[in-house]
Amino acid sequence: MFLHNYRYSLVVLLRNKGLVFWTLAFPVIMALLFHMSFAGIDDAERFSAIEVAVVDDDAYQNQVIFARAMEELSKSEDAVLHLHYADSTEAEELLNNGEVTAVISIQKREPVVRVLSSGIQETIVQSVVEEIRCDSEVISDLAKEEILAEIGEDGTDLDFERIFTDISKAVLSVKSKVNNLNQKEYSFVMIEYESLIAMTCLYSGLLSMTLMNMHQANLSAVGKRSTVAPARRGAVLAGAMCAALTVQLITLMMLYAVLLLIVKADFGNDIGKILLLSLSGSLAGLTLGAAVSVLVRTGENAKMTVLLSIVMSGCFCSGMMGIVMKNIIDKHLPFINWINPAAMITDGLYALYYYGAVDRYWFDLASILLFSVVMTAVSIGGLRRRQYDSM
Amino acid sequence: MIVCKAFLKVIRKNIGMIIIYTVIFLVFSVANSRTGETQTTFVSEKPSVCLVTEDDSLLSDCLCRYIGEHMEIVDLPEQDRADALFYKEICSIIRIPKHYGRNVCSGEQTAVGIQTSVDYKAEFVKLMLERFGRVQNIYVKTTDSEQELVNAIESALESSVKVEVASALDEKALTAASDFYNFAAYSMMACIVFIICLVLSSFNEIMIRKRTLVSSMPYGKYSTLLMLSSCLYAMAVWAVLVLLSFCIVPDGMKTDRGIWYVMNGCLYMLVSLTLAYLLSTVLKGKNAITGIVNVITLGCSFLCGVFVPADYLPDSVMAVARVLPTYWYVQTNELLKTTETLDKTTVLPILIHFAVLSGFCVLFYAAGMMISRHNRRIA
Repeated sequence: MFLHNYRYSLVVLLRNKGLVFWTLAFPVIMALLFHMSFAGIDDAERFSAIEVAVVDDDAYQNQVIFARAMEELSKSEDAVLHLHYADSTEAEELLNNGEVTAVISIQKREPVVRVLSSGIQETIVQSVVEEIRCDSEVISDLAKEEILAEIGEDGTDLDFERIFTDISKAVLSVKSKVNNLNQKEYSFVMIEYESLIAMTCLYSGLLSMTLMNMHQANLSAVGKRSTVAPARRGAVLAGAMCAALTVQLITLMMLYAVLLLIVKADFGNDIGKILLLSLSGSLAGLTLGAAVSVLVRTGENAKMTVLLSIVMSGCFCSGMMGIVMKNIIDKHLPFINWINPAAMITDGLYALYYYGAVDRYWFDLASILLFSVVMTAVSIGGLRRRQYDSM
Repeated sequence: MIVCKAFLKVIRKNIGMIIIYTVIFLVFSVANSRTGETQTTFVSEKPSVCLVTEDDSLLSDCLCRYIGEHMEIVDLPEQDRADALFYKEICSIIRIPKHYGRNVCSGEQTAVGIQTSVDYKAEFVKLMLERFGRVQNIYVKTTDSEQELVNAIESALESSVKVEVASALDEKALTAASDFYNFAAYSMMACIVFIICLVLSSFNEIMIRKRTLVSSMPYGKYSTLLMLSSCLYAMAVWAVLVLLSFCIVPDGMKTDRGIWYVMNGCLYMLVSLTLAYLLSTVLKGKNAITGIVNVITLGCSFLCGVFVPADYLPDSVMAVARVLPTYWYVQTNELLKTTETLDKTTVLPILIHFAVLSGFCVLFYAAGMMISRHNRRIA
């Protein structure tokens, strides 16, 4: 009986075009769309030398230390600025065309930065110019001290040029590095793919709901026949659920194949734990679908709307429609994500990716399994001893 | 009137879906619309950082003051710091190590530790810390005490430069308006295409179609009325979005660009309307409509810079996106955001985009008419 039901449930699921689209094709389409949209985000946010125009006139050339420091800065391997020397009209044109972020010029012996708007790139240019100006002042201070000291020793024949050059070289060669504590570069957009996996896991609810609806006497002719048939209800439903799980496994395999081979998403190295979490998530989806099918006593369309609303709201709270949303909910309304299976799956995958397998992963896994147990209990409670006086 | 009434009746049945799309749109629009005060002068950005100090010395106090001047210090418990860094709530965690002041003064190697995200803000933090470190390393050789070193550093770091803003545009207000209208592309297309497809497909059901064909009403009049009703609905959606734009991003809409955003939205509404007409002639059944419309609206939005700024999209994606109307709509909004002044020369590219959108309208409508005529022949 189990195998018979399993086989027929599988056929029912695979012949339902709408269901195949939403559970198999839609997550793959979403993964490809995410890939096309988000592929450039990490690169766009990564720092690269900022394009800056320098007005190369007499005033600029007269500021020897400033001009030399600017040149040094743009020459180094990890240059912050990429300089374009131009006259003032040309520089202004470059700025207005958006080809450079800022124009640096010398006016009344002071550096002036011209930008189109406020922003982080403009602030970086400002801070670099401030640093160069600061260097010039330090060189002047130290040169003054040196000159005074040399006058004290031997007041005649001071070589100002030499003092100035030596101090400039000494100051500009001083380097300072911060201690970089980053262990690995993490991608911000991984949350999107993790929440997509959560959505796919929970979409398995559509499969279980379709099969559960098929076995409820108040919803379909097949349900009436199934209810009065001399078959054990448990075996019938177990066969149906196993068929739904099989389709869900195919979906997950397809999605992971796309994510790993085409999108090249990095979920971490612990494939076993990732699969364990995905399977548990799928189980949560299946039981959620069954529970909604049993508890919501309306037509099939209304049940589907309720299930999709629950899944999509859960995905919204777990960061699918805005990466920072999960963090905001976790901080301000944590109880929502305590009962949100999409957040549990996303958080478990995030814990594996960002922290490695830690207590947080196991806690998420346990929460998902507990959620599945509760949903199963609710479904069984709703289905047991259901009788109809008339249909 | 009968056709119009029937049209509205089917729309009422789908009111839930319209409300869902409108609510999604409102949530995102309001979240993106924090424009702040009007800004035409330069304001330095202050990235948020978490500062952990393990040292208690004059030098580390000086460094803390310096960080506080240039960055926004966020106080976070140990367990929340890594998450905050990942979600870019902060861009760096700065750690001043134990005995920092003592080690610097005695010439021992010591450095401030930082954990950063990968972006320009993190680079700025690194630059600022390296700047402090350089000044400190220069003066540590020429000063005799920690207090003297701190005084020297503070006076050296006081220097500032003049920053002029060349543009008179209030970029923040215009960015908010552009973001609003960019996101409206998704809501407008979803609301118009999905609902009109559902309504028109219910009129296209074989039995209803046969009844209409044999009724006394001329078919031309019937289809004109149906198109007018669809147009009325689409205009209502567009009007609601325009009204919302004046409520949510009033600063941007009050500028001379406001009317252009409205016109661009109007053309996109017509594109959505004609696309809905074309799809309704091709698609049969609610399931097919839901699936295809979702793929089209989400696809257009992801590929053309509605959900992710167009600057972040790879060139190959942008090249493909040119065949979609959403690309031209979004590019017009971007032009309106960045064009310094609107005159004959600068308006020309915008008018070309309008012409392309109009071309899409004509193309979709003509294709829809052809398929509809073909369908009528075989009915």
